[in-house]
Amino acid sequence: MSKPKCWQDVPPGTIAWGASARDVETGLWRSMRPILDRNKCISCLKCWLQCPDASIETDGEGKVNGINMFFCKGCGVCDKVCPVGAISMHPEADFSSECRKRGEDPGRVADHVR
Amino acid sequence: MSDKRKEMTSGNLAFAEAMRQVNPDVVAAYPITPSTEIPMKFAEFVADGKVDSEYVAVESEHSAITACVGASVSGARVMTASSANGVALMHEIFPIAAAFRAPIVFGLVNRSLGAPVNIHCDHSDSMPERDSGWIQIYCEDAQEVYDSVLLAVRLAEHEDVLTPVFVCQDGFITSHCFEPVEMLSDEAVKKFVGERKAKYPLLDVDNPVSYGSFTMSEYYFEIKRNQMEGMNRAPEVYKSLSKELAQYTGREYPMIDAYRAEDADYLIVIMSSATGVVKDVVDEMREKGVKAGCLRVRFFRPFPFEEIRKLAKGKKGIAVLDRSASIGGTAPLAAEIKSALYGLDERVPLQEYIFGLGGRDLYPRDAENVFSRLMDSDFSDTVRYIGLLEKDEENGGN
Amino acid sequence: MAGINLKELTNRQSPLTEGHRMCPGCGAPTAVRQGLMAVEDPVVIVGATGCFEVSTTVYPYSAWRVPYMHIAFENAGAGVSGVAAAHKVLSRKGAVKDNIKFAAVGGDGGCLRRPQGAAGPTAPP
Repeated sequence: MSKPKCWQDVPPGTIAWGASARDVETGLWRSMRPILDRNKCISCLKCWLQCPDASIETDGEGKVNGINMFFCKGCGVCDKVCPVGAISMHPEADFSSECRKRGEDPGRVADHVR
Repeated sequence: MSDKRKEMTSGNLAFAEAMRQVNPDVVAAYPITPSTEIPMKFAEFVADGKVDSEYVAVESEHSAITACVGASVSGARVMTASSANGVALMHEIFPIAAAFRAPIVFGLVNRSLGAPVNIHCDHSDSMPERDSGWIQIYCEDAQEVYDSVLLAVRLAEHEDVLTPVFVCQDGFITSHCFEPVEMLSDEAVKKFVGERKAKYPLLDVDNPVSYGSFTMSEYYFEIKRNQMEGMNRAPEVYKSLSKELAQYTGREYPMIDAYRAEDADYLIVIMSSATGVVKDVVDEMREKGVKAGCLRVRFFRPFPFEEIRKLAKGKKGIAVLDRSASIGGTAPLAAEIKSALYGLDERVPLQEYIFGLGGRDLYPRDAENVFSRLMDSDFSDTVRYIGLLEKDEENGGN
Repeated sequence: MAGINLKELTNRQSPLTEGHRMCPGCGAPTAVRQGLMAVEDPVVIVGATGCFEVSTTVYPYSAWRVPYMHIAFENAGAGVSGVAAAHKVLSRKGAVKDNIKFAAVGGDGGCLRRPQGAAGPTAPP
């Protein structure tokens, strides 16, 4: 669900629908990107435990299989806690040519109040 | 409905009895004179197992109203009561309750706001809440309190309204004095109030929602406007509920109690119990051939502008008697009445009065005085005070 | 519960989703997420005003996968008491699930003001 267009469409009682924040592409905040070296990763799950944005992806059997670029804010906590150095941070600018499905921009303010 | 009973009871006890019959799910309350009896009596009912309610004993009125909002938003039927500075302490939360569309029914027993500390009746506790988004009903006597509780539960929970309701009564005058009150049977009340069907309750874990989001300027205005619709629809809904309850009780309560007002030349506009005095004086004046009338405003929010305009049109003079002041501005009831009359083609002269602060009584001679000054076209731009001890500056002494 | 198996926990969905607006690297979402890993039953959260409340519920988005309510600054405790009381009554009536747990979440301000003021009694969950 996205932004209501008029007061008649606003849900009652100040309600926001549960888990609607999953439409918001907080990945747009990144200036550094974590890169996972799968050969070094031992799936200790320390990065998964500490990620503030729940962006470490697991495969259903407790094995780390990637980092979610839609949500990852590039804070670097995963790099810091990894005991085997499987994660390293790289400038986001290196990936500027990447094509990805876009979500709602967390910085964008609606037209009617600009 | 059969099995009605008439009892000598007070406004507080009538409210508590109505609460018992409604059997709300949760009551969180904190005592304060003169509303103490309501949670006190209800706590007795809980202790004796006469209701199924959960009574949450809290440490302040602020916590009381918060717990009420939490419970109401969770889908429970919630009632509570308070007065004066207790209501003032709850002030922070009232707009939140209204914005959450929490249909709380609140027994507001009017008592003057401190300082100075006074336990008697005036409307200075409920008037500051007139912008909070709650419906306000002012009751003249204990019978009306009892009937209004039942109406308030249905009105608050109606899906077109979903707005919390203050059922106000005068502290000590209505709340403590005993009078005959006719009450319905438990079954009749159960039938009338029914069960609450909450939309988007917090406890529906399968359909999670978040109440009270942080909202930037993009949406605050729209959310507030959406909330206002509930209040706007209340008069329509209320009229049909009043008719429905009248089938059980034989009593109907319009939004304005117009007493001999349609053909009157002079009107006093007033709220709550002091109306009784004015109605007596109206009858006396009518005997003398004066076309006097009285308007008792029952619904202060939403304010019945249309009805006032219709009833006030063409009158030779109106006096508005407020039992509270808006210091530095126009007294609340007078402000609304003036606003209602603004749209009339022909100006109706209006005199603003303040009376009864701190529980000072209104006497028949006061009402007679008001009428005779109206008849003399004795109007002033400034407010007049009834029963106030004033230095008599004109005659150089008291 | 014998012990926590981290690998099993990766399959459980946290009450707090991604997409919240906390600063990159903030410890608060981690702390809340880890705290809530202890709860298997459905949970209802009442939040006090603060960084966390403001970042997880920027209208119209909510980062809560569970029912969430924010009332005011100092009364998360009283609010959750009300919700728990309603749960007691409504589960007795069969209108809601029995096994719902409740938590109040606050930061320094929301918790500091709590013992001083509107703690409210917490009804047993």
